[in-house]
Amino acid sequence: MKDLTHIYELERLLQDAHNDLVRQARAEGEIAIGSVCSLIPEPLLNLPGCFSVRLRAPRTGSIEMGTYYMTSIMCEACRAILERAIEGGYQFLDCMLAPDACAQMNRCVENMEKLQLCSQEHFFVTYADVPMKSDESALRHYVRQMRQYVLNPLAEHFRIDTSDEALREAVSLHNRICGLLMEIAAFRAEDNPRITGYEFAVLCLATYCCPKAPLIPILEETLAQLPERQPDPHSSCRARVVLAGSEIDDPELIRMIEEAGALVVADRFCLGAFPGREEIRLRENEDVLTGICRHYMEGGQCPRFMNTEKIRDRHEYIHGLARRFHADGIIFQQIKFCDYWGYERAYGTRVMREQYGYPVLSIDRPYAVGNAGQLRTRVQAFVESMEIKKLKEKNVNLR
Amino acid sequence: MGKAMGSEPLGSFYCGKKAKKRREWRGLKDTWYDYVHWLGIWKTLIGFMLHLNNLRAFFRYRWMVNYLAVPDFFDRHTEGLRGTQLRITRTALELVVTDMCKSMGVMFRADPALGNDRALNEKLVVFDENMMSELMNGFPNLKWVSVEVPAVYTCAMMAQDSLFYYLDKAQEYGIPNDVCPMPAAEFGVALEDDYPRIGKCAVQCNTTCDGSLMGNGLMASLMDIPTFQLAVPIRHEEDSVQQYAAEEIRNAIAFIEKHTGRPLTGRLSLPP
Repeated sequence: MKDLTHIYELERLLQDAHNDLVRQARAEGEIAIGSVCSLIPEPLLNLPGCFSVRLRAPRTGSIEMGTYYMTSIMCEACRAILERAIEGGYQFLDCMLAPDACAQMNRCVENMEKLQLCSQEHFFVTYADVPMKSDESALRHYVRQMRQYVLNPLAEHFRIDTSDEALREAVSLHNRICGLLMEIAAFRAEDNPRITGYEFAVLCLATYCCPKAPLIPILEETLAQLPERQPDPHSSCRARVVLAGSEIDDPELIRMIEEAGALVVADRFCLGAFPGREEIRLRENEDVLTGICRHYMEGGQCPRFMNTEKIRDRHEYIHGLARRFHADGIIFQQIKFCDYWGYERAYGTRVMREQYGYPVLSIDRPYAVGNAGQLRTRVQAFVESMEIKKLKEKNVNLR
Repeated sequence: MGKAMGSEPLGSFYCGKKAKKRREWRGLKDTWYDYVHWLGIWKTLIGFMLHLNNLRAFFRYRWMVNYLAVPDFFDRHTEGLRGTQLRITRTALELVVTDMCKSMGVMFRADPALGNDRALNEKLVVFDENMMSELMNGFPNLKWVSVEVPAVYTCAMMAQDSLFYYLDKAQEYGIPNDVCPMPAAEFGVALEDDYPRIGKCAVQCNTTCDGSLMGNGLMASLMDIPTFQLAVPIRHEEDSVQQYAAEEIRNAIAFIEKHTGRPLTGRLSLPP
């Protein structure tokens, strides 16, 4: 297929946390907010005058210093981010607004704070308590916490406008990005999609890691290009999969999966499109902040939501994606040493296989995937097993 | 060192075969005290096993076999102790044993596979082992039990290798071997259906850790009774979370009242 116009530009931006768009925004006086978790609603971090940068550690090699502070049995993503912070990779941040969500990411951020790894004079960190359930009590608490630990500090330290009008403007910007990405994602439901999972991941990830406004023209041009783009007549991918699980902040993992024969048609992981890029629908009779929090609470797919209804909803959500994008199977992946996804992956794999009848590949992986031969082999074997299953079904139908 | 404190060499006593033949010598007075209480523990255990439900439970639940190590557990924790130290340790641990015997006695009596006391079962509320039982002080007509404590917690105290089987089962299911083993073992017990299936309803919470949060959530899916998951804020001493914490306690109380039909009695001292 012909290359997407902006793909190389976005790949280059993703090589560095302090990339050109971030530099440009800061030069224009905007506040850079470090984000480590989807449970702090993005619109609150992208009010007029500020922008969020989801922390990642691209091109990670050794994580020895991160391991020194956090031990070798903690999430590799958290260690890699701490390592990058120790190396000075996040000096540009004006603040970090973190939730008390995952204990390991908490330790990472606390280490960053204690070691004073961000050099901006006014740098500060807050920790908000975020819901573990989806109900009205949790929503009220969520709203109070976001007001106290996100909006108020932004207003006090940086004079950011946190009025309802500013929140609506932020939601509007967020929805514009989401709308464009979802229109692009719709092409992935085609029999022979004209955009690969890797390409989509690059587009989507850029919207988490860079200021959003400059990306709108890029996404619009990409969307305009797609209807004319001719897919390869014979794709090398022999099966379609929904990719679910923990953080994937390196599109190379998706490229590796697709090179092994599995086309990623939907991304149900942190930093993916589902649910992170679903538009926020505000209710008329509800204040804006509550509406935003309600969207993130009710739509959140993080395994940290522990009530039984949410656990069932997560499985149903993946099933919905698999149907919508005509997936043949599901790949559940997690970064090693993640407690949340260790349990969720085990249970989800069982449920999706036994109750929903999907072929499922369940893997845990290092943070830095590189050219992980073992991973590639497992995906290849999984693709073959799905092909065999399809052949058998075809034979049965013929008889 | 042992000689300096008037003790026999404990390394050779407990690593060799002498411990199978006699008690540790602690001087006449303390050895007599220790011996009498050792007999007392056997009396407690034999008395516990003389109840038919408890005897049957020994053969129904794999984890019960670990309680054969109770006398050894006492010896491990009183090695070299004398005087007041010995007495404090013995008293504290004996309270654990008697409390566990009472608690397991209640569970096995209500257990449909054993005693099948349905009237008792109607009064039981199952709490997870980290859930704050003080809540049940407001329900004098109900009993709270924690099925995880005898199956996992105290078993591991008695015999450190008691949970390997359940960890294996959890890992066979797909739980990675790098997660905390405590909730993994609890989940393994649930997978093997090795918890008494008792209680009108259950209350879990997310403490103490992410592993507990996740393990409890999965166990709630496997358990066959209504379960309330109480969300405890992480930074629980902060003022900003007290209101939510109080609300969650009220929600838990309302849940218990709804499923047991018994109201909370007495006054609650909670923030508004």
